[in-house]
Amino acid sequence: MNWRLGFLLWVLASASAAAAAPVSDKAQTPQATALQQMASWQLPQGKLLFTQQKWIRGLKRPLKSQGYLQLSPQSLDWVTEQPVQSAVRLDKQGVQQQLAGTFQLQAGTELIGHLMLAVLQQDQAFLQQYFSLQPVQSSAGQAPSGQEQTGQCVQLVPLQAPLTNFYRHIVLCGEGSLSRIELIELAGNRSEILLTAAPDSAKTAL
Amino acid sequence: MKKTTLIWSCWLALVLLCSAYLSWQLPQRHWSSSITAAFPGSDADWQRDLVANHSANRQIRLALTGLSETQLASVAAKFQQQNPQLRWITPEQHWQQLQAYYQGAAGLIATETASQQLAGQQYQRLADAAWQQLLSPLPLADNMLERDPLLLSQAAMQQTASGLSQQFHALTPAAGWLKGKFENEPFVLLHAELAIDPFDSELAVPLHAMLLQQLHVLQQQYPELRWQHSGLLFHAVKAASTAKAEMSWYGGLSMLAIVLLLWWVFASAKPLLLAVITLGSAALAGLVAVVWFFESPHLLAFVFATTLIGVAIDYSFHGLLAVQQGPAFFRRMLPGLSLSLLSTLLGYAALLLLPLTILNQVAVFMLAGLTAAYLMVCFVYPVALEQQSLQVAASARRGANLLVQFWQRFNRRQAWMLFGIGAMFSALLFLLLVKFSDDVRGFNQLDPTLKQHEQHMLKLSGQQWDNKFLLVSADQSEQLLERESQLRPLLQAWQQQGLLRDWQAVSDWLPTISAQQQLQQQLQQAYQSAVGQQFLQQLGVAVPLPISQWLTAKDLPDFVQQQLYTPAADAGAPAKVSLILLRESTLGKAQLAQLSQLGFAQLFDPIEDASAKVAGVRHQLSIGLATAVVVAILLLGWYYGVKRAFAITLFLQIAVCSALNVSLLLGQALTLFHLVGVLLVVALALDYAIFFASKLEAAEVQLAVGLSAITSMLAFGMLAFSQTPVIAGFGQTILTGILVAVLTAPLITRIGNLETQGR
Repeated sequence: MNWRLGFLLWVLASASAAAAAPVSDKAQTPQATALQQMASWQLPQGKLLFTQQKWIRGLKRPLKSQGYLQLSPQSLDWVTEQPVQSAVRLDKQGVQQQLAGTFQLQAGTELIGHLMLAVLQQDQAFLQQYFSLQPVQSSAGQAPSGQEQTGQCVQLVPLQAPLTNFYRHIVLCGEGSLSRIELIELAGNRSEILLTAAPDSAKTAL
Repeated sequence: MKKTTLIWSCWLALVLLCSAYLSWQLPQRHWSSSITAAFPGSDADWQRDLVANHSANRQIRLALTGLSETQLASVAAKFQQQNPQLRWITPEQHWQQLQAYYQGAAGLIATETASQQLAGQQYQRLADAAWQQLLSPLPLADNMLERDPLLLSQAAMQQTASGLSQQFHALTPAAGWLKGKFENEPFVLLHAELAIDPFDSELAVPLHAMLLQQLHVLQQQYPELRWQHSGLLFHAVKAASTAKAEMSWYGGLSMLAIVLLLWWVFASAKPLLLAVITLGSAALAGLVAVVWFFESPHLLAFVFATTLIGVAIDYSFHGLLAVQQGPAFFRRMLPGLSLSLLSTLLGYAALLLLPLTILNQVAVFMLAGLTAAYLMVCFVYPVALEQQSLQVAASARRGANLLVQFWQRFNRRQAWMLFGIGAMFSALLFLLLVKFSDDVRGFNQLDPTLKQHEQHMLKLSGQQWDNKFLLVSADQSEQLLERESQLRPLLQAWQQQGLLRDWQAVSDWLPTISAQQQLQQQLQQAYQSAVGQQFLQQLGVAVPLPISQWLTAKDLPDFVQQQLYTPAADAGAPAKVSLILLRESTLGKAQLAQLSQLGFAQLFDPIEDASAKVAGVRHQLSIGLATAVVVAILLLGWYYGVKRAFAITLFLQIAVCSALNVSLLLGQALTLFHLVGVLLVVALALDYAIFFASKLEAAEVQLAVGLSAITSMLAFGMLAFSQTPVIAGFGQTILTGILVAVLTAPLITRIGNLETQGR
């Protein structure tokens, strides 16, 4: 009797372990694992606060900025409040810079605009089309910000031009939801964006 | 016997000499098949060179579809690897060139707004804009901050690149090609530049065959693979193969018909052999002359030149029949033959005066070929054939006699009435129907499959630049850029008026050196200002060193550099020229007048330009033809008397108007090539008229003229079925003209005889 109970418990425990830790499943590809991991994040909605640090080649210190992101199904407004006030709208048409109160589309930015929207909306079809995805260890302790990083990360390596001309890779991290985006540019520049939910996310609009 | 040997030896020596020359020269020559290149270009040679060297003429595009994206990428990569002789134009190359250009342009270019802000010392605005760019999530251009911390060049490049972005439409760049989806089916678009001239059929035909073969091999691996292509190469090769096929097909059929005709008339191999030798010698002489005088023989010229068979055989028939009548008759025939040669040579020589290479080549070929045929008849025929050695078919003689007898029924009044009414009716019909077209686009019929390919490619790749462009000329490169800048307000105004959607000028990418110097000075001032100092301090970068190495044309990406042109030193050619590419332009007279006022810019439309020149040539040819006819009639009037000359005039009018009326009744507009046909109709009709007006027996003349007319009609009639409209029109005109001329020419003898009797 005891051995039967023991076997049952072992089967149940194995099944639970498999469900809880798909990474350890040898049959699953890294891409599938990465997608599954992203799928486990709660989709960000409405307003998100961000802080960005940008290491630009030739600059001795990183550029720090903060503001908020306003996410809607079709577009993402990137509003910087500190150190200067600026707004950028990203959608499938491209990147629009706010100049003199109106948004002006920047030529040739279609894919970049779509990319940022796809990252935040976790548009898996888009990401799979343009990137090779793989799970990576959290870069805790190595983060330039010095903040402790938690959660799992997914590395996105661009597969084709023109993204290959801009990015070496992109890292998305989070636990429960996306909380960190790291953009490593081919030119040697690097951006780290930390996201947190805004207290009044649903109400705020640009 | 000695004379016979000498003549044959001379003939053999000349044939060997010509053959040796051709076997030495022909492999070195490149045959051309461009119908538009054969037309007159611009007055200025540099404009024609510019169009000929325009890189768009050498480019091909290939769309692959029918497979999955991965398979398409694999096929595209294989195809590119298999064809290293093509210069593949890839997004990767574009990107690398753009990046190199960005690097060099940092700190030297700025948008118009930024320049104004800089000039107005609105430094805070510039600093704010720079912060926006620095803090936005967009990637930054490599190594830009050291030379241009305010990022003015990045903003300027974004503005300039908007034109490029429009070009790519809904396409996504991959490394070696563009890709997209059409009706939910993925496709890849390959773009390459040829190292060869697509009109050089010696090189273009093998290349074309190889490309298609490789595609077929790939299709065997991937049966679902489909492709569409565009580019001048495909049209040029098609035109070349059509011209070659027509030349051998029509030439072969004509030759066969002539052989059968000779066999029917003489039932002997000897005249047949003599006629073939005559035609062969004439063709050899013609080819040698063309190769001697022209660097690039044109295939279409030889399509027209197949008519040599028709005219040369005329001489052969006169010679064959005259030799049979004895030396005395042969000597009486010679003045007529000489006068006939002279009138035909004069007609063809007129083509030499026209600024059309293709017709110049036809003229040279015919002048040399006909002279050779004439010399053969004069010197070889009397020694090759004996008197009464041949029996002319009774049916042929009967036919000739019947026609002569038919016209004998008419009395003087009836004969004049017939000519008068015929001339009036044909002229009235001509005046009612006449319409001309000089549009060179109608001269050549596009292959329907290639046309379909072109249209589909346009759907896939989006709107391309127009086939017309603005030409800006100057003495120096710097002045050229200044002049382009002066033109910009006009272009902007046209854009606002909806007359122009977009343009691409060199000056959009390359400011003048003085403008670059001024920008540098202003930037240095900005860096020294309080706002500038604070901005640089916040950024943590030092004040950039003043730049002294300026941006030049050599730094431009290839696709912009191609818009600059340095014409060969020539009378009237400017030292420097730039092309401004236009998209969806509909410029009218008012806009052209605005350009003309500037004095350094002009709209250049190669097609319109060639059409206008064709119209000019047609006008010149009309005048030349009318003058030649008037002179010929005056001469005939002096030689034969006024009434016979008047009869010949009416005869010519009937032949010419009938020839043109057939094309008009078929709904065609008359082109320059119809007029060229008229020129030949006049030459041949005068030829017939001279023989009928001579003192030779009408039945003998009718037999020779009739036989030669039948062969000429067979030769020219074949051209009426050509796929090239201009050649078909040429064939129809001559076919009808000769038919009418040969049927009505005996009336000249009848009128001549009646008038002589009347006197």
